[in-house]
Amino acid sequence: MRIPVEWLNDYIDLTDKNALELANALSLSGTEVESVEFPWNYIEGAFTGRIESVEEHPDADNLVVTKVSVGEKLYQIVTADKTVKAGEYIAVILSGGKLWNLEIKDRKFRGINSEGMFISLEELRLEEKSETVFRFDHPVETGKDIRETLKLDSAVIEVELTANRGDCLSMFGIARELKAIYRKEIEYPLAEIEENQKEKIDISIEEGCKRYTALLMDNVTIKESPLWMKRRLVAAGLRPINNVVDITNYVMLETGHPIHAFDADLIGGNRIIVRKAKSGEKLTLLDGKEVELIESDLLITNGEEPLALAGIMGGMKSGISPNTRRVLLEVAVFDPVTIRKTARRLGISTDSSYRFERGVDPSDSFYVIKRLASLISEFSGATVSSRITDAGTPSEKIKLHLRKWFVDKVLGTVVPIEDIESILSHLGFELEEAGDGWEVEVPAYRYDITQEIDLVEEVGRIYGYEKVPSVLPRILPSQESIPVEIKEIRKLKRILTASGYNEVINYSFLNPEKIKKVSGDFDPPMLQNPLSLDFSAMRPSMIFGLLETASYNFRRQNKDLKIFEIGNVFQNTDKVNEHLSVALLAMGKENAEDYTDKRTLSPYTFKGTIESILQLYGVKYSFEPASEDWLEKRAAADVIINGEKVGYFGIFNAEIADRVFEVKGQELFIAELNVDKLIELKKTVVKETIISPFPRVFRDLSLLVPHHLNFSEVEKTITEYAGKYLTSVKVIDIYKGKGIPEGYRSITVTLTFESSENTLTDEKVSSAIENIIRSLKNTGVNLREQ
Amino acid sequence: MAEPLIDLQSALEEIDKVSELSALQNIKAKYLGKQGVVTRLFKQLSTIPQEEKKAFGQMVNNLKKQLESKIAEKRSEIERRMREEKEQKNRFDITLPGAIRDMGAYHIVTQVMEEVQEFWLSMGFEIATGPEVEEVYYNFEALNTPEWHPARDMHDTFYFNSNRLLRTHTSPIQIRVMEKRNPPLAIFAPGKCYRKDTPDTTHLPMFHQFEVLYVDRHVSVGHLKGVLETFVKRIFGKDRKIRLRPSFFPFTEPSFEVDVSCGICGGAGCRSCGGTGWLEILGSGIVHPNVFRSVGYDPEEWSGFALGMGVERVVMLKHDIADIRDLLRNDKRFLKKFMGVNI
Repeated sequence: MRIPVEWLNDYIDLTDKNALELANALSLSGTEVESVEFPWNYIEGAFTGRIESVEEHPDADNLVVTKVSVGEKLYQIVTADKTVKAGEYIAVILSGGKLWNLEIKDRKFRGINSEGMFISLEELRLEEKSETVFRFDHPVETGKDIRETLKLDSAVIEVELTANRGDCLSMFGIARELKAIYRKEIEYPLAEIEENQKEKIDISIEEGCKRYTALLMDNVTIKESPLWMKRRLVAAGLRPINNVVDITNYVMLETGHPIHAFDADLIGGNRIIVRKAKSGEKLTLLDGKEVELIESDLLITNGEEPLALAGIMGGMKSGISPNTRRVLLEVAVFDPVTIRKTARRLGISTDSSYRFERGVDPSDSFYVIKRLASLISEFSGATVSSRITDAGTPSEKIKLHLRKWFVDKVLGTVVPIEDIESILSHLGFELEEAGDGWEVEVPAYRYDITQEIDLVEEVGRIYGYEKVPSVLPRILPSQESIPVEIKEIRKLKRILTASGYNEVINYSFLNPEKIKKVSGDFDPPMLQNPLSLDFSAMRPSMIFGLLETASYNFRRQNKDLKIFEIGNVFQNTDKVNEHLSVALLAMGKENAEDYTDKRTLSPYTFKGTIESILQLYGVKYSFEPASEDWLEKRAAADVIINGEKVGYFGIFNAEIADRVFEVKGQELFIAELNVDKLIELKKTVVKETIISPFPRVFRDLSLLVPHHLNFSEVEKTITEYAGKYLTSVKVIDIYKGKGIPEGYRSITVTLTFESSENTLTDEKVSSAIENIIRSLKNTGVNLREQ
Repeated sequence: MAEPLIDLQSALEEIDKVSELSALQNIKAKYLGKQGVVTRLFKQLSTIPQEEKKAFGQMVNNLKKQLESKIAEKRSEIERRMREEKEQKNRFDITLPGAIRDMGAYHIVTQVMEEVQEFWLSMGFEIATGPEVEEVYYNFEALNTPEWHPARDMHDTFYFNSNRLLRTHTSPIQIRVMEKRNPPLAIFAPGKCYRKDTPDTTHLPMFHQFEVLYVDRHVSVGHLKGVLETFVKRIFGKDRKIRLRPSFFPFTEPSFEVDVSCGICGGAGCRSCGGTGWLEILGSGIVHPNVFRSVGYDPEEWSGFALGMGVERVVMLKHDIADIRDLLRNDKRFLKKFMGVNI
């Protein structure tokens, strides 16, 4: 909300404070200040002047040449507004002045020099379209800055109010805050009218409308509002329309109470019935939009047809027009939730609905309607033609008990009794001493005060938290251990960064189309109200973000990349599940920064990284052919622990990489592991096993393995036939080429034998080796001849 | 007295000229070897008359010593030269770059989160976690934010259906912990949160937050201030100050926005703090009695403070990042820049 400081000055004397002081004081008492600005600072060098003479332009029919006195000096101004007359007081912007970005300079009009230009209300943003230049309707001192004379030099403080402070959405509300901060007094404007019984209004209300107050006025003349009112509306961010509409807006900004004015001749009788809408009922609003209503919406009707959408917007049909002669003024109080539901559903937010949603004072209706009527009669010549008619009642004021010691306990300091009393009473609370504190009556406009703690906050925020001394609490050390997933995340990040992988963070949202382009197997949970298609599906897997990151980097010449991400992925089960996942992606060189290492990534080096991770969990793992159709079958595997799949790794499908992610000419290695599963399967108890004191025996075997035969088969055979002393089978070399028959490769393994009981004899090891060789032969694997 | 059979001076010169170890060996043999000149002189000793023996012996000894020392000196000179030649031949250009084993970088958000976490752990807080997909009850209702409360506007929320949503803050973790445990407790709860904000230079629809909750018998605003001051000094620097600006959150009362004094102007007001001298960093307050009621704590017996902070905001302040979206672009050069800054 925008607060013109000169407007506030009507109610509370702030002449001893500058705008920045006010902004700071508001900000430190709970009213967040967005900015302090001077809305007319775009005009420089504009002054009041008096037209001394007007002459025809010798060479142009549509121009006149004037002499204008500005202070002591006389200037020649050429203008196209031929209505100007000598003796008129105007505003002129002289050469050297500025209007927005336009620098005003001397300019020749058909040979005659002009030393500036006259200003219209349009240029002052006080009128939509000006036909003539602006002139004062009374003599003014010339040579004064126009901003000063027209009071356009006052600051506007823009505040952002928190959701609980509906009572501050007005000049009165902000004045009340400043009253408490500075312990000053407020003077409310007088609002007196003479009611009469020329006409009668019938009002009936139902649930959703707490109070409805109305008044009829006759003899209205619709015209422009006075300049000062326009100025304040514009400064507050509203567009002036006509006197009646402007006054309803003005009084709303002044009091915080939304108001509606109907054209009384267009509502068909003086009857107001507030009721819930019928399902499917339609209403065309003031902005021309037709809305279809449901049964929870509240309507203002004339008994038959709807006139307005209660608390949100008036109807088009009964709106104020230049022809309006009679008005029905509505000052109502609606239930915040009813208004909010309708406004939200229809996606409409107005100054009125915004205030009703936050709670409007039910006790000020008479004051507001009188204030309204007195301004309308003053500026439109209208007369009151009914009594103030009222349905509903202001709600009972609530009383709370406030304990002095409780204030001190919560705030952590002893607040003097006089301060508590002065603060609360300046904020409009009524106090009566009672027991260990006070009985406090809450003003009706303070919807946010419902408990004792709310009063403590009122005291605290005005008293000033800078006066509260800082203390460190004594917190006992916790007996709880760090959650296992936090530990695992830390551990994974440690090993992965040490392995050369960079941590990335991607959105948990995805474009579902993109997911489909990779595989139709995914069924991601969808958001009901996403930001856009790109952010509408929850990631079912971490790979999409990594692939996007790879794509982004590849296109920016970062072609050697090792990245990982740890985070949650989501499943579309009945209640949307999530689990912790870690994924890796690598492309390009094995060690990009190492010029002595020319290797590019290989399935084996990548698999090595995956295995290093798996080894952290102390579990037996194995690999099976990958089930993901977007991995290259020739180099991909699922990771199996205890017969359960916990992840996969492999080369990402080159065609999809190119088509969807624009990565080509480079293999993408990708892997993902379910961390929650790993945690679940993790071997948690590790006990010391006796390290054998007897020497180990190592034997190397170079084996000729047919190309089609997986090493896992070879390993299986070896372990099966090696007897009980074999403790490990380690691949130390793979060789293809010279000396190796076509269709074979040579795999050299080191077998380790070890006994915990005695030194192994050569015979024992040799017989195991013979056994192994014999069994391997049966699978087509022979020893390589030296 | 017999004249010496050699000219010491020319022998020394002869040694001087030598540049190879083998030649030096030959010279040594020539003078000092079994058949060497000096050895032969020693052998003459028996033929020298008794009265000259002493002088002769001394002369020959002296000769031997001089030659030996010259040869030794020459040897070490040649050896040193050879060593130098060898070294020169086998020298490494140690100015060539090392074969760097590339380490990966922790994301800067992780680094700051870890730094923050370390602080709270050291204060005696324990870590708690919760799901990102939450129930409306935990995200709002239990936190004193009933349906249709305008405060829900501050949390523009992503929904899966009428009951399940993406948490808009880490505060639901408070409720989950308090439901299970009895006070006193002190928890730190990190996590990802989501709000329906279109990405721009200062907003992301997904961000990281951490929540701190302390519940005990006499917790006051003074305690909150004390803890926050310590936190800010540890994370931002000892010269930084804080101020509490009253604000509104449904789950705390009183509520505060916490500002830290601007690190660039020191509070005088400059461009990066918008002229105010202060930067808003987190929201906090005294736990609302309704929150305690919703988890079955007696608000007359227990009191507490809670605070929540966006990690990205701190990252941006600490590392002068102008566009928050850079944090999710994951450009390798960006990631590498923050390698080892905090971890």
